[in-house]
Amino acid sequence: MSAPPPPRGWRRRSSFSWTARVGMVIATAIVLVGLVGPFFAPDGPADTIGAAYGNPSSGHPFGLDYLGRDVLSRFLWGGRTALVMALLATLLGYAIGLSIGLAAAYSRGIFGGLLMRASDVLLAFPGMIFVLLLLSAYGSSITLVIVAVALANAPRIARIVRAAALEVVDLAYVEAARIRGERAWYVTLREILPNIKSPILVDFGVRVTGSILLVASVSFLGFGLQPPSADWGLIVSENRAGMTIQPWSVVPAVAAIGLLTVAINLIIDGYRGSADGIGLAEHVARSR
Amino acid sequence: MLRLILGRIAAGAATLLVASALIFSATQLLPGDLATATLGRDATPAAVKQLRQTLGLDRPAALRYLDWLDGIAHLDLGKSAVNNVRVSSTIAQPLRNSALLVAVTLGLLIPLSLLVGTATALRRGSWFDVGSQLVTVALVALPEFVVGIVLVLAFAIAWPVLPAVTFQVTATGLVLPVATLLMLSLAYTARMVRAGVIDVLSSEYVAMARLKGMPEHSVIRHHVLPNAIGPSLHAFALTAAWLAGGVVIVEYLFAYPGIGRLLIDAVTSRDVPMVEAVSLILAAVYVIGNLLADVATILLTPRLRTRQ
Repeated sequence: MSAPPPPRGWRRRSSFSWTARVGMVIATAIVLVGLVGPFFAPDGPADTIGAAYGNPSSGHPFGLDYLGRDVLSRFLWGGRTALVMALLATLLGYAIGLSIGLAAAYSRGIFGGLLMRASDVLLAFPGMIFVLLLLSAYGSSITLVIVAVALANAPRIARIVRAAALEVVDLAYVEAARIRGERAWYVTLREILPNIKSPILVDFGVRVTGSILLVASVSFLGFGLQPPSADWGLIVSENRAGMTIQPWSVVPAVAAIGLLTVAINLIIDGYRGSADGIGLAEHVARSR
Repeated sequence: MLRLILGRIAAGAATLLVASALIFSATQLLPGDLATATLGRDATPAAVKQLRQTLGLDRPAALRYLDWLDGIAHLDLGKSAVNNVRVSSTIAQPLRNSALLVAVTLGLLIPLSLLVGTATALRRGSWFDVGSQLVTVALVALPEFVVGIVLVLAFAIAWPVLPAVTFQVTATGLVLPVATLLMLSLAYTARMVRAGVIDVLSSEYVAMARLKGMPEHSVIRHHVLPNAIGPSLHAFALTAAWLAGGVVIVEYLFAYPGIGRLLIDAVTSRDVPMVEAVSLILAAVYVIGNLLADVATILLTPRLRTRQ
């Protein structure tokens, strides 16, 4: 006898499609390379090995960069700072955006409206322009990049949180807590927040990705980490003048950032929660 | 409907006004102003004070903001802090170059996304559709410089047919910057068109047209496309807004002489008046793009169109 057919909708019970799983494998691999890469780097990030733009050889599979440093080593050193910066920027952005979004949803009325108008204004800037504006006024520093990326994220986070919180703010259990005489912070943190956890977690993943890309772009423009530190965006930027001589000098860094984006897009797109598919991918696109 | 549109325009203008205040205060209110930035940390207090007076920085920030706004109203964007040349005269040519870049991109984007979106929608579920869906999902949200560098590696180095940099605006120099912007925006707009076409294809009037024996190509031309364009207009307008930020990195990457490249140079040399002016222009483009998206939505949504 043959096995009974799987029940209808069996495939749907898994939260992630096969493309999403492929995405997870790639994303995990790249984040791992970024975090533990320095332990495997044959040379230091600032060690000069030979002549500028040396061709790939057995010891240096991607050749040497514009100052004669090993491209592979600099690539392995270059992921960590950007990943940590992006994570810090997202956490800081969440600290601001979550409080504003929850406050706006809970209080509504004039206060909530004002908060949202204020975040609308911040949204009138492409994230990149906002970051550049702050960097031009105060000079580039890592702390400022983190703060600027967090501030660029905050209004977008506030909108998502507010929209999610408005769905539950009128439900009976929230009402019950209010009538019980619980304080505002108790109602928002203990009744509302746990019930909007899942859209927020999805958004958090999207934000971290968006922040990695923004940090990488800022580094690419030369306003993030300063030479001689190694950073994927900076590596692409400083070697692009010699791309015709030694194209391999930019390949690993570009591949890592590109693959990480594609992988995260696949995860988001294949996640069962995003029914319309386009919603979250668009979300990343627009968050810049 | 008119009231609704006027309301959006007023809201857009208000947003821009607050944005201008934000641009100004972001660069002026916190400690460390232009004078200390120009003279460096070792400058004597007397020299800083002297320069502040010359630059007018000793006046209250609110007054300087009003002066700045008044200048903008007269199309006077102030003077560069680096070479003391009028910002408006420096900005004119790069602005035209960037407008050309954006216009060419949008001019190609609209027909291409209609084509790709409709083709994938009509062959829904085929390998062509599934494949292009996967490609567009992957492409969306890639950083501009990653796509640009890959295109340079492919078409300027591996197969050297195009220039890698665009110091002057020429037809061949435009190809790679436009292609970079196009690839990134097409991924999004083609998906929106596809969703719109699929929606219309399942409607009753399309079934009716088919049942009365109308040839498929005229069903598509007369019934499907006109109704599917509506929702996509919103996506096109949002793309126009996105381009305001997207051009900055693409212009820097290809050394394209546009407003984005000017912005990066100004940030590098900490030319605050120039940065303020360019940011304001880009914010205006962004706000206008979003405004167009809103107006398009209002015009195309019957429920909003008829509400008085």
